[in-house]
Amino acid sequence: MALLVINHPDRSSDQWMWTPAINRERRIALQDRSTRFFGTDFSFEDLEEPDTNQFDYRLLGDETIDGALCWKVESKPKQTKISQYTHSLVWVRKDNYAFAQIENYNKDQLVRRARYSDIRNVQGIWTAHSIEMQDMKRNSRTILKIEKLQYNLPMKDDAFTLQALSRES
Amino acid sequence: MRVLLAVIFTAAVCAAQSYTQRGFLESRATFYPQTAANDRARMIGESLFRYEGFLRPSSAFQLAGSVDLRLDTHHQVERDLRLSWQDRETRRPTVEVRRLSGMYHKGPMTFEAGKQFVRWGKTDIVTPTDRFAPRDFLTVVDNDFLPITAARLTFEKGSNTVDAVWSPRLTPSRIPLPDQRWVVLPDLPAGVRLNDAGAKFPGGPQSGARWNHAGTIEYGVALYQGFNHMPSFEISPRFIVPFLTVGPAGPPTGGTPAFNSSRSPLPTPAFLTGRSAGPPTVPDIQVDVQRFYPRMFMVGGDVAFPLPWLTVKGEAARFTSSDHRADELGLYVLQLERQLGEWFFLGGYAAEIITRKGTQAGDFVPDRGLSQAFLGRAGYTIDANRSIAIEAAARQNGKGTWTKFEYSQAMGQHWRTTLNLTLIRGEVDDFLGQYRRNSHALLVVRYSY
Repeated sequence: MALLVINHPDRSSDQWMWTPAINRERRIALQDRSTRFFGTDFSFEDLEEPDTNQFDYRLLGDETIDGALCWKVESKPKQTKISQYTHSLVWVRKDNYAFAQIENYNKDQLVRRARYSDIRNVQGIWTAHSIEMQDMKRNSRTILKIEKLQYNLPMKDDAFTLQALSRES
Repeated sequence: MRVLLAVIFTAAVCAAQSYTQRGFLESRATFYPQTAANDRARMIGESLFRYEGFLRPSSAFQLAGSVDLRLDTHHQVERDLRLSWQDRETRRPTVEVRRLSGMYHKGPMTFEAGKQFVRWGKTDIVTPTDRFAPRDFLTVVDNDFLPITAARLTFEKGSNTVDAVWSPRLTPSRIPLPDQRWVVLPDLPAGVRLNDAGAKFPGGPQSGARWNHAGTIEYGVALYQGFNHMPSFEISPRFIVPFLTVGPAGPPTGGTPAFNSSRSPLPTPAFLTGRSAGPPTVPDIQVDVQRFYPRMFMVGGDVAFPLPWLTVKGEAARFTSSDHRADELGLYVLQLERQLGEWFFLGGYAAEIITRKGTQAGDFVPDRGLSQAFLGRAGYTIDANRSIAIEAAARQNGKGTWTKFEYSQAMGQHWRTTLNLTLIRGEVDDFLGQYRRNSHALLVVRYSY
């Protein structure tokens, strides 16, 4: 399957999913973004790359995660951004600027926690190769492992279209 | 608009690889609690091996190939090893080229030629504008798409896509076999028998174009000119007495019998009224039934727009024909979707409006068979490996219902088992109701690689 996410600066992202079994793309409606991605503990929204312009940030202090000193940052979606989460707490490692942990909240209730590990330097960019997402309500977890990663590959705009979804599937 | 991320979740795609492959081996066991008048089998076994390969010599060019190998216990599959390309056999071929196409992509243009799948439209259960998508209807309620031989040019600019398709010859939908339970034959008077006169395939190409806009509201407009891939039927009664045949000429083309009427049983001529349980009388009357695929022109459209609580999808098409034997009609479907937690709900209504009745004796048109009906589907994802779903259709006149319950469970990375229970109820003169003896249980075990 393939998932296309197109972020917009002024509104929520558009998402389409392609499944070869039906040979058609299907739009993921805005109200469906909190749905789990194919039964995993990731929701469709969790698979978006957050656009920093759509959040307000506040530094809460320093904390240590897995032995690494981190900045603890609160992020709140702006009014134009529709999200299942009211706010998130993000721990960013001071030594390599990689995420160490993200907690997503709905009001005061912790909904999901993502922990980032196996952080490696790939082409000068520190990147977690293992992300463990825990659904607090279900008390279940999903581990996403990145097996192969390359940055700065030349990509054309037409790689991010509905047509490309069907081509690449 | 700024693109930030596209996540491709597929094992098959990697820019550095030039050849990728995937496929599965699937075995299915179907159990029918009831026998049918023309089919005493209660258990059917089938196996399908599918191999798909993708060769990408460059980022702009891709060759895709796929082949199916089948076996079964109920002779729904041909028994010879001939390789099938055209998909015009009445039975499923043992070895079939499912896909063999070359795709070239440059800038906003994509061109694909060869055997491929073309899907149009937005709705799910009934898709009136999906004219390049014939199906295998041997088991009417569990059907699968058939590929077509075509050339397809797609131009995509921003949120707009224009799709032009040309197919040199018709790929017909595969319809149920008359010696099996998914054909419900009409009661005939003694001495009258039906004879399959084969199919009369049309010559000439099919073509179509579709424009689709994928903004906040998605909509598309489609035009199609060609032939209906669902067959209609002509009947010709002939009196047969020893050494003499009286009636319309025209030699039967032979082949495997295949005839059916989805909307109503084949009409019995008025002079043949009355039923008899006695032996055939002389002279016999043979009714030749021939499939034909009438010309069709379609103009249609589809739309999908998200509302705060649900997504509304609609699709409508108007069908006309220069063939007086074919009906002219409008077909539309309205569908509502909603994802709620782990639940997925879909409900809709489909209807047809016949503007001209053709002179054909009958049709096999399951999409129209599901018109004047309420359709629904609900699915629940238990976890990453397990899901359940229930689908249902009910005719608004209450004459037929179809309900399917499905449980699916993955075991490890490669194995998946699916249990499907289908219940069909209704009256014999209804498209769904005619299959009321075909309620069944289906167990599918698949190994994917």
